[in-house]
Amino acid sequence: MATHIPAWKAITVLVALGALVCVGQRSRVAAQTQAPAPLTIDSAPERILYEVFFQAVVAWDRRASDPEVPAARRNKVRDHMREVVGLDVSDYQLVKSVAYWVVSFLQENAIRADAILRDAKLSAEDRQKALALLKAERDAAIDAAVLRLRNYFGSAGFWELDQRVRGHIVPRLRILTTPSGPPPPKQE
Amino acid sequence: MLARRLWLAIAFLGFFSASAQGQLYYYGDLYVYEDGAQAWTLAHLPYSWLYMTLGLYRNSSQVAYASDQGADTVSIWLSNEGCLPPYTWYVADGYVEGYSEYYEDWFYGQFWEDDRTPGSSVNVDSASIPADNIQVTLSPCGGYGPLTLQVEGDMTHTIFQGDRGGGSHSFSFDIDNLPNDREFTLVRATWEPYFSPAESGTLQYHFKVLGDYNHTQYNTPDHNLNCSGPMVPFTYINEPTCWAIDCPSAQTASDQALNGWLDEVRENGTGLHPTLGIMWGEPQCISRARYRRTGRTCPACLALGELVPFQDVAICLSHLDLNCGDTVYVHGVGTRIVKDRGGRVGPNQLDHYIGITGCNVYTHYGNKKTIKLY
Repeated sequence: MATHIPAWKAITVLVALGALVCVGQRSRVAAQTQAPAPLTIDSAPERILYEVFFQAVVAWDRRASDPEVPAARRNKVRDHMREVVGLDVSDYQLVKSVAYWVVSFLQENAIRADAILRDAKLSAEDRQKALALLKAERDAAIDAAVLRLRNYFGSAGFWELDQRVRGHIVPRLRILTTPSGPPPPKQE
Repeated sequence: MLARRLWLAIAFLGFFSASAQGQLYYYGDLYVYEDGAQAWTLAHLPYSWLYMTLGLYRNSSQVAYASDQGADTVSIWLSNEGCLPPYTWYVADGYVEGYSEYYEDWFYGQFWEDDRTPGSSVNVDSASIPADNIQVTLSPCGGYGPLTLQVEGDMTHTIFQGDRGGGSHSFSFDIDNLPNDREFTLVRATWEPYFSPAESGTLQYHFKVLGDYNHTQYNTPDHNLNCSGPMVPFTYINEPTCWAIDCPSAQTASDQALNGWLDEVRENGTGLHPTLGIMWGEPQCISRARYRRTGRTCPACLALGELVPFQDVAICLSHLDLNCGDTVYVHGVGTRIVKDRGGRVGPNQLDHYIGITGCNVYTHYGNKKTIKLY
């Protein structure tokens, strides 16, 4: 099956690779860490998986109301993720409400992070602390949302849902791991 | 307030327990359906700037493209709709690159997924011999190719063969050319749009083509309409019951009527007398009288009630395929119910009751394709 690599993409990749070569030692680390970790259905990290899942649930639900989608097709688009996870309408309603809640939380979190990044008065250390706090809040929100699903569906029901979520999300997901710890000092 | 405190507590714990490792995740989903596709990509890199592109290709030609950039989380939707042939190939091809201000580093990823629209489907929505119509829906709408429409039973008979596109289509049974003395139970439509395997849809529909029957008419002749001959005396059984009667003890009476009318009553089974009402040609107690004053038509299928004009027919005394209550379709005439039998009706004949009219007032329908409906 033929793949399509448009010229813009080749150029972008070359530019990105060039940038990696130019920044020396740190770039090699970056190059190593950019290799996508092989994801399997069972090993894919739950937090990322469910963040994507919640984002997808909200995105497809909103897409169904998009004027670009023909009216005759909207129910199908709206039901896409529901069919992915094999839930009936009432159970999926709960999933949707949890997803809308967590996505809204993440959006607010991102706005706050943006404000921190733009705050020139913050020292690098304070900025790092503030962002780490936001990241922890973010993670906690996703964990709480997953816990809500666990409680609602029970262990057997959640296991079934989880398998379906993983079965759909994992093959379509790439995770690139950034370096551990704070960024290295800039090389002058 | 409590929730806020809880979040801060969780965040605080998270800060000291979690690794500072960050992750760019990049997700894409291509959803392909009968007449289009939706593609969606999402990338998230905490505290970053992201640039993302997404292309949607249909059979190797780009049909949609978009790029977007922004902070933290970026997503792109693309869609394409159309009247498509089956197995149309869609590809979603995405790329993301991001710069993390936190890590002061670049990250990038690619997404590629392909899928095909569903194959063809054929649905026989309805079939009706009386309406002479078979409704078939072919999908997807972009398919085009040979369609074969058949009826199956103790043989397979092809009704239609020709190229058709996706959509809803009506066909005739081509009743005149249905083979006689054959029973069918199924309508099958088989469609093979170009470049796709054949698919078929069926509908249970049971009928038997009895043959090209002779269709005659009978009536209840009105003594006052078109009847001739001299007035003659006649004896009748004065019991308003149909069929069962104790012949020796039955009461009889006499009256007068036109000779031609009496002949018609015996021929048609009933007649309307000006004073006695509906008289019946007596079938059981002929030794005492040839007429019975029933006041009603008393068809052979008594349990089905009175004869209804232009709705009921009589069959021969012992028909191989038809019985009381059966429904028959007479091509060019309509649907009829078997409610009567006649000694003078042949095996390949149906006699249609037309109600109260004059003596010898009827028009035969002639030979018509006759079909039993189940």
